[in-house]
Amino acid sequence: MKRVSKKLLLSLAAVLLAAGMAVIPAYDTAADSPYRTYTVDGYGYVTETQTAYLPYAIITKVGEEALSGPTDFMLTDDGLIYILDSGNARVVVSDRGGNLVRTFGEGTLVSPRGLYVTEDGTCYVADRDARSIFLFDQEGELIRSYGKPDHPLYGSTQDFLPLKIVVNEAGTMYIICESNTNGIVQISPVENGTFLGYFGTNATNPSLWNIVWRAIQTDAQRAKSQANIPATPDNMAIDEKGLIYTVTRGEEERTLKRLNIAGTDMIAGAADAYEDTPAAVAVGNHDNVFVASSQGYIYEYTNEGELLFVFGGSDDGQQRIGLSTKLEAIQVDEEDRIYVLDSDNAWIQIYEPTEFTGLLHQALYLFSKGRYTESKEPLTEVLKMNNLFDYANMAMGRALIQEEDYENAIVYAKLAKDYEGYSDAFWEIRNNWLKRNLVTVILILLGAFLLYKVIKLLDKKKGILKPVRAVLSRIGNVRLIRQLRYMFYFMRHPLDGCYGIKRQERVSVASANLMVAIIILFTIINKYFCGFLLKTVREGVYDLVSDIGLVVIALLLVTGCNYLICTINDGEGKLKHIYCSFVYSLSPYIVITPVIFVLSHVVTNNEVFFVEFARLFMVVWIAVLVFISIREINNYTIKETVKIICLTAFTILIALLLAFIIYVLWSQVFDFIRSIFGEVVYKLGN
Amino acid sequence: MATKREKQNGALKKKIALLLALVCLLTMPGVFSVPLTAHAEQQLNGHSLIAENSRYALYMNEEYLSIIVQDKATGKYMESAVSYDDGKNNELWLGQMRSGLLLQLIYGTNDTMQADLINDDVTKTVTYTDNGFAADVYWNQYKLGMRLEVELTENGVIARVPDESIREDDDTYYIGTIAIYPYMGACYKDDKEGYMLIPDGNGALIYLNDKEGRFKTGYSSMIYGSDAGFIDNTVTTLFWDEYKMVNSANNVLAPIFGMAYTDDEIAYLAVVENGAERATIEALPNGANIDYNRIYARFIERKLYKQPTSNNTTVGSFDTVESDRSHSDLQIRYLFLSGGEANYSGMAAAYRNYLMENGSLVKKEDTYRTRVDFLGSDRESWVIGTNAVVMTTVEDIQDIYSDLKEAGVTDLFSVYKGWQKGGIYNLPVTSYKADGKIGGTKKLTKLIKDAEEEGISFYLYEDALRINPDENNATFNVIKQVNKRKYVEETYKDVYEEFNYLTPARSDELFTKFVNNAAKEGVTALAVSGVSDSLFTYNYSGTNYTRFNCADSYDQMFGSLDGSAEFVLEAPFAYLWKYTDAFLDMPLYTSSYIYEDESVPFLSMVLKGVIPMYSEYVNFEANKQEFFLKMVETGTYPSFYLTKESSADLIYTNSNDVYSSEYSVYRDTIVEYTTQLKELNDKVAGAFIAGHEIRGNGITVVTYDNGVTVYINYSTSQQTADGYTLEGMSYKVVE
Repeated sequence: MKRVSKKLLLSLAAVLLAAGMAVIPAYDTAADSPYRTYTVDGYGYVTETQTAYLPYAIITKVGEEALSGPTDFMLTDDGLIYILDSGNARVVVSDRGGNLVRTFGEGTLVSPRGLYVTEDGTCYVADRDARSIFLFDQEGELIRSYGKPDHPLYGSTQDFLPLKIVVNEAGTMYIICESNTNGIVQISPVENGTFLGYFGTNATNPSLWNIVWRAIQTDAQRAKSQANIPATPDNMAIDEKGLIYTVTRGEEERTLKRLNIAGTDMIAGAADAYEDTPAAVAVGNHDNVFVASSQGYIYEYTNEGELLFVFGGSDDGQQRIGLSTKLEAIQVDEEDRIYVLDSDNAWIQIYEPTEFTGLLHQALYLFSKGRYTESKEPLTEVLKMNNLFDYANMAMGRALIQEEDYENAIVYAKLAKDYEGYSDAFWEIRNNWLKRNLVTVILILLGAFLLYKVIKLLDKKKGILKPVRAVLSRIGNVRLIRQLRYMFYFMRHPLDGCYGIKRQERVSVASANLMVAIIILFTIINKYFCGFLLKTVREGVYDLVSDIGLVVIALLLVTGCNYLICTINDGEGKLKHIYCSFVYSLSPYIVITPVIFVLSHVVTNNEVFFVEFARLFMVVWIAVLVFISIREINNYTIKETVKIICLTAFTILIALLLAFIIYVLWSQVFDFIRSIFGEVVYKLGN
Repeated sequence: MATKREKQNGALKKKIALLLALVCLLTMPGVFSVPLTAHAEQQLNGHSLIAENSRYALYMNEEYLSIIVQDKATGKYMESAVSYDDGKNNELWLGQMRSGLLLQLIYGTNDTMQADLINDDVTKTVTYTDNGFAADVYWNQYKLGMRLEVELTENGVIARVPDESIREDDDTYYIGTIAIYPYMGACYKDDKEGYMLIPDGNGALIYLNDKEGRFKTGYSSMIYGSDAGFIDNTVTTLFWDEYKMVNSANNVLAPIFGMAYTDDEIAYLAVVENGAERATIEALPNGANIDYNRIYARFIERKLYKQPTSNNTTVGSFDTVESDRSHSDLQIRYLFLSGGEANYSGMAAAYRNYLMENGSLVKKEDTYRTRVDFLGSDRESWVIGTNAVVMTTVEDIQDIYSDLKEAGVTDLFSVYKGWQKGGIYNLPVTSYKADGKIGGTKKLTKLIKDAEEEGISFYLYEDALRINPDENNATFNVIKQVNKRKYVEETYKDVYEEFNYLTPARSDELFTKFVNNAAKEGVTALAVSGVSDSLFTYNYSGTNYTRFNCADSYDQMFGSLDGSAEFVLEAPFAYLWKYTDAFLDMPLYTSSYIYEDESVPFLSMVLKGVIPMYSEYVNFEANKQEFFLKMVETGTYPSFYLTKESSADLIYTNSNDVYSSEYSVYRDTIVEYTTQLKELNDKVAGAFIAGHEIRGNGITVVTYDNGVTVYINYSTSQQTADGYTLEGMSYKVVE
């Protein structure tokens, strides 16, 4: 009699020994997982972490009853497992040890696909081919059934093919139906089933491309277009508060939704890691949510949609414990054990949390209840076991902010890439610093101002700064320096500035090149060393070649294309002048970037506005300078200038396209040559 | 416990045998006129007795070349050709089940063609020797031949196919694989009580019970790990197309497998003595194709591989076969066990004796030590080049040692990783030059001397296999795969994205240079990885080399350096065990195959008391208490991976998988583990594990040959065993 794997049988024996024990103890002699466990860091990068859940047992048979293509199951509080044995069109009830309690539904069910058991033991079965919902009582007797809702809003042509069902405390049924794209069907038990409407409809995502595309389509084409049809959720779960969790294929970062009564998704931000082929969702005991992918991956999220763990995997024939072939349903018991139903293998695999996960759950629970100080203890333990666990670092940072320990909080926030927490902590630190040092700062400023005045006065009277001025003016008169200094003039007087470039040789290619070098330097410094809140690249990653390449190529492309267009449009500008004027038009970048850089180190989220404004100001300034330069250097009218700019943009596009085509062609030729070479070498080698 | 059917079957067989004998008597009176040889008198399941000694009798069938080994004391036997036929098997399967030699041939691009001694046109010439026989076999259709030699020894049987006897006379058919006695000890469903021992991880058992057809395949794993010289044919599904979600299975560290009938009290442990470098262990439970349990070694002679002709491997490639077969004798030694030894404890003892007798294992100094490894420095990317991330300096280590000493921990064993100039991944290390950031060479030398005086074993870590192409010139002296493409090991990390493998000759050259250089400074204790747990087929400057060449090179390298330095090797393969003073990273678990019924500490039982074994790092274990109990059970010493700085600093380095290592976090655990495990291991110092038993209620009992017994309770509730009470997740030592 081998119902369950060895481990569980052992466990059962022990249960009998320790009579009355509700918990199945884990006897484990082979507890290493064949899969890895990952989490994501603040950048959305996947990193490895401790094993979160270990394989615990497998239920392959219930009593002597073999399962056939089961599609759904549910754990109930009284320690039973209701398994929807779809291949045999029945419900099999088992205890947690895999012993048969009863079966029912034979003869009634046709092709059942979903099942839900309420607290009073009523079992709802969604039967697709019978086009009905069947209700069975605790003994497995059929109580009643609901068919297709007879309601004008439901749609008379709309078929009723129920796949999955959940029921709330009031007895309202939420039903996912096949090929019903209106949303989840909501039926109230009153008056033999009243259709309450559709719930939690997924929205279509009209991308810009789609909108353009639709505009040029015929009506018939538009009706056929897939993009118009919202996706039907694939599965759902309900929590104690009556919130509905859905998973939907193809919704990308909105795969997992937590819907309130009004059908609004309460997961505010997009989930930072999502599954392409979700099969089922379950609600945990600590404000956590589990999603099973049909490929065998199991995800654990916080109820805010932040990924804690992903583990498991598909079995490619190696037959290792903990891997799955086709997952259909997932449940979590009161001990935080995860049960997953594999329909291909017709078994239920059980995972149990490790010490690490236990601690994390404890912290998660305390943290979500706002008991930050208490949550610090388990968090400390979690961080001891994994210093880089993102969620724990975030929570620790937030807890420390609550305790007003900002200096430490900011370290955790930075590790977790928790921008909000970082900003808050930084604001406080800055504030404290200001409070402490305000007087000193004012005094220093005042002192500096006085010193400046005194020196100026002395200079006026005795000319003590004369030698300094002489040195400065000598340096300033070096040709290259003078040419560089011209950018300050150019910025403020672009009309005269262009004249100076065009007619007076006030600048040279060398000085322009030097400016490009400065621009590249500033770009790199600002990109990699700006303040944490404004940093757009992942820390620890540097890619100088493409940074420099981008600036150089962009500049060459713009100059070159503009020159080509100008020469055939009666422009007066020489290549040198066009190049220099473009580079000098970028002067505001050189002047303003250092300001932005300094600001980025002292602003918090509240003042990011300043930086954004400075950036906007800079861009507008540069745009104006570029426009004036083109006009002045080539002696165009405004209308002509606009035309030239448009033509230049078009030329750049064509140039890029050409480059791409040439690249593709050459890579083909190259590969062809390599192939021949490879074959020749192989043939010679033999 | 013979089943009813078997008894009936046996009775039936007896009747048939009687009948046959009668027919013979009546129809062939001439038989009596032929003088009987001494051997031909006794028959067993269609096999004739050909050799015997004080313990075992060897029977043989000339047609199948199959054998039966019988324990003379009990009369119980194991056969290489299953005598019971359940009637469900076709000719091909029957041929496989009975034939003494089973080949897979390569014909064009088909490598699954079966050749055996029964279904094919085979010419056999059998000559009997004193202790067995030798048979020259020739497959006329395929024009292939070889010689099978079988010899009865004092404690079992040796089966051998000499390399020079293997002939491939035609270019149409090549020998892909050879299995010698693939069904040795095989049995039907649950006819026998017992198990098969497979060398997965530390060791695992597959019970000989009815599997009810649950398993479609069984265990198939290459001895000494997979071959980097071939592109893996199995498609691994990557999570998000990028991350490896399923861990690689454990390497097979020792070339062994076993079969035990516990009811008949007969068992064998098979040691693949020759040819192991290129062989797989196959273990199939009943239900995988046929209803028989079988376990055997399969020697690979030639393989098909994909030869790409363009960068795009999916389009431009063709299948082709290796130009030469691998050259080695193929030899399996079956060590038979009976009585109370016919179990995995007996197998472990037999293997230990075998290794120690032929010098493959030498008893080393073995006192309890806690292994505390340190990470010196790694690199993170910076605007230009890389920047050092210093984790543990020489002074930090001194501080940690004195802190541990204060806490009473002095029995320490350390491996210092990332000590070399340029950090842990500046590979290979060619001279003894420490990174200035960790304190420099002089300070390191002083630390090593001081540690020695304090009685701490201190080893410098070196990966002698890998070369980092970002830091060193890896154009030459790196291996190419059999398809003549440079082998690249992807790290999936940000700083150094790939590594190459040095050719064994280059490894030898550079490593020897390093050892000599370090020896000048008096530094002779080295921890070596890479070469200790890798073997590969490779191509270098137009010549193909096999895993045998690779193993020979490494063997010679350590052989010639033996004496000039002391080595500890990381997860070493069995052929290198004689060179290592300690076994680092001993696996405590298996690969969790679903058909494995029990995990047993087989390797630990072989090595406990011979060489000290250190576990994998405790840091990364999610269930620490269970892991601790595993160490108690296997007699393994704990290992910690430590840094002075917080491991969060490693986030942008290649070591970002070290997510927990700060010394202050682990200090108390180290002290606690040391206290408990030292007390335990001092009691069993130098003793061998004599017995190991897994009881139903979560209790495991380990008996040492000095009389000490250790009870381990893996259950979370209180249990009793032999009158002793054990709390949940605890252990008890009884002297």
